[in-house]
Amino acid sequence: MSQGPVMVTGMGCVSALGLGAALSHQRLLEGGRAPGLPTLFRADCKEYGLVFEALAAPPVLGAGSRTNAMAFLAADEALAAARLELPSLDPARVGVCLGTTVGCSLNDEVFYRYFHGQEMPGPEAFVRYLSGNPAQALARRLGLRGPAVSVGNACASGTDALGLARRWLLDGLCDAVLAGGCDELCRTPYLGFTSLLNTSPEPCRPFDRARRGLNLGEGAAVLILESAAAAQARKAPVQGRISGYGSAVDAHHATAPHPEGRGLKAATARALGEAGLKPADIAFINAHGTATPANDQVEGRSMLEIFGPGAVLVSTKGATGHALGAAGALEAAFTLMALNDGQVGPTLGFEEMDPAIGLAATRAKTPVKGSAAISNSLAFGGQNSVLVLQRA
Amino acid sequence: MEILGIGIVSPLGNGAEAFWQGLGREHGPATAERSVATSQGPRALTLFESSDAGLERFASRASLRRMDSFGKWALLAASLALEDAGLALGDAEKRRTGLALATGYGCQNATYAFLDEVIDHGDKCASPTHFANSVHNALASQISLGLGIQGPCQTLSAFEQSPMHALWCARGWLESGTVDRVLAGFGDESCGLLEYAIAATAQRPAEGQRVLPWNEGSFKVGTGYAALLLGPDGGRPGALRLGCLEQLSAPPEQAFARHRAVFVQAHGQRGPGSLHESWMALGNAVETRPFLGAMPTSQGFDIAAAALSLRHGQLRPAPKGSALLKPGDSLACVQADTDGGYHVACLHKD
Amino acid sequence: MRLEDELKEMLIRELKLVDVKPEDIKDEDPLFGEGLGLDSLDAVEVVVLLQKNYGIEVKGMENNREVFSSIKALADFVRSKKPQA
Repeated sequence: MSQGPVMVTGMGCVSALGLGAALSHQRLLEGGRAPGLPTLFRADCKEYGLVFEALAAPPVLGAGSRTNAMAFLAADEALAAARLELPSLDPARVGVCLGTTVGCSLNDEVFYRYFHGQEMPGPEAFVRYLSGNPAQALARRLGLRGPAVSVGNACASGTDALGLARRWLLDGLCDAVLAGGCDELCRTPYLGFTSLLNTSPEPCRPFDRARRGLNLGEGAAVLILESAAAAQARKAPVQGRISGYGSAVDAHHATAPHPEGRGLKAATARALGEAGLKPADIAFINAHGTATPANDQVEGRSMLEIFGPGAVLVSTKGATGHALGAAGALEAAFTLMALNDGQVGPTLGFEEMDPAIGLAATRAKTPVKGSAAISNSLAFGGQNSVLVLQRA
Repeated sequence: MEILGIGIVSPLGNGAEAFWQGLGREHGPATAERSVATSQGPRALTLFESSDAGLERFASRASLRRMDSFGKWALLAASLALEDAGLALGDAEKRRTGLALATGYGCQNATYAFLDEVIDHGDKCASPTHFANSVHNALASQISLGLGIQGPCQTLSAFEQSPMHALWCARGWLESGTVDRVLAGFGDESCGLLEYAIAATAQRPAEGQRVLPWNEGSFKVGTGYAALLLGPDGGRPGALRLGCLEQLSAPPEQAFARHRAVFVQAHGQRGPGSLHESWMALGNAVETRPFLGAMPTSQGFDIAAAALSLRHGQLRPAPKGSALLKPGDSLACVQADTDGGYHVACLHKD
Repeated sequence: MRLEDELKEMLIRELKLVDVKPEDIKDEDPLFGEGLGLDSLDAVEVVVLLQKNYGIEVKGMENNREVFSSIKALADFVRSKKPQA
């Protein structure tokens, strides 16, 4: 079967909100946040973008990086929630699909600095890198032998990993997938986004008239995805469904989105089409909502055009920052929990609608009626990815 | 899936024809011998070099100004694949074309160019252009901008398993009708840091250390970009068909019996008694390593070489014995991975 | 060398404006949009180039559109921050 929903049977979340999916949802509803200057590393910038660090995440024995440690924590929580007993499954039929930006690159700055200075550093950083691909590392840790790959689609990686994992299940490549995303905060993306003048020295303000830029974050989320048949056969606890996925590139510019949201509209249409739903069926939109002038303008206007002025728009990045490869996965989990609970939290940082956008984000806890929602991710290179999620 | 077009940027030259000619010669790949200083003394590496020669036929210099060499290889290979297929995409077709790209190491040179500025001039001098070029999907961005492609896009990374993932993704999109065609890309580049790291990593790894999978003992560092334009199985006579795409946990010995020849990537497992040695001893194993070096996405190039062999009715690289391919002959490309798995792709011509 | 000419060479070299020669750029020509046709990514790159080559910090872009509007405007800005340039 090439279309249709796949079941989400467990979820695990690590972010600045703390450890745990349910705790994260609770905190999103309550609406507190505490971004600050980076403590995980030092940088020398003319202006310091605030960040959301996941300081509650403990180190994990055997994880070669914080990126992988957070992925392992999220995976453990998701497996427990799904009551999925891995030893009872054929390991060749369980896959791992994780989005990441820093996890696949050898950007160990200390190692490079020694090399650049013509010293001869020991190769441990490289050896760690070869074992450190997040999806492969998680598969190895759990003894899984099914398809395992890391998705490197910049800020859309988490959403794209979930979309790809759903495709694996529909194609019969495996029966269950640990799918999601992970990224730790470190100097390279911090300096990179700062150089793009995309960051804000204040707490970010998604969709707000006075927004100035994003705050980087970090974290991991893992969702256990299973085919409908497999979930039913083992009477799995179903948390929700992924019923559609759409992806499209703008082919417009290396870093700026298409001004009319060409790719986002195509991806949204595709995702709704796969789910067999219309815009009126969508209870709310979990936006990419980074609080950059460009993203929120394009995304906000596109959502207004497709879903109308009554659309409920929320950006959880006001509470977690932009966790890059983890963002799409965290947001899918947040979306499902909000659907199941019938309410979304406030978009922290949003106060006044931007007339150039014409759509307001949530200012307070907002009830949502309906069984389906969408989650968007937009990335460098004009990548646009949309998931349709449905409640349990 | 059907292979509609093949585009190659490689140490043997650029384009399917140059690649094919290069595979037929005993010598020819562009290589550079490097002596890399390590704390245990100098180590020799052979770097197999690619270039973007020919890109000016497809893109103006002005449009390429932001791209680094890896991005240019990817755009060139993709352009050559479309040209080989005889296709010029209209607007509607561009929206129905997907990009499934595989890379092991990602965009290394852009990453280190970024860090060079930071180290030499300070944090405030980090370059946004280098940063934008360093993200793994920078190549997807450049191909989509250069060719106007607006369909779905995935950049997938799992070292030597990357090519198979790009192909599974392509197949999934085609079979579900999400797109009408897919540009699948496979490539890696090299850089000073990688060459140093390869040279410095012990040839005899410590217990539990993951073996340097594609260069152990041989230090032949491959670079390049291969692109395949893929379409759904149309049942056309003479079509090049790519199928099977399996991940196995036992060595696929039957592949050697079932197929006319097997392209082998049994990285790191060289030397007496190794898997590589036992496979190469079989009469119908061939390897592209002497022509291309080795890198994580080497299997993508093997698939291109196998496809061209079927197109020409002749096996290259030359096996022991006859190189002639008969109608109905099929070929397999096998990648042994360091987690004890095997990835197999099979090709035949209808 | 005039600062204006130095800036033209810097832009051509660092932004890899192949096919453009310094004499092709007039001091008053627009840099962004029309004229030289630079875009948003070039704009943030120029901010870094001012830091790297002249030690000038430009914070954010909102107040600086006039500064970047032409070579003359850019040169005046550099002179105002670094009178000895």
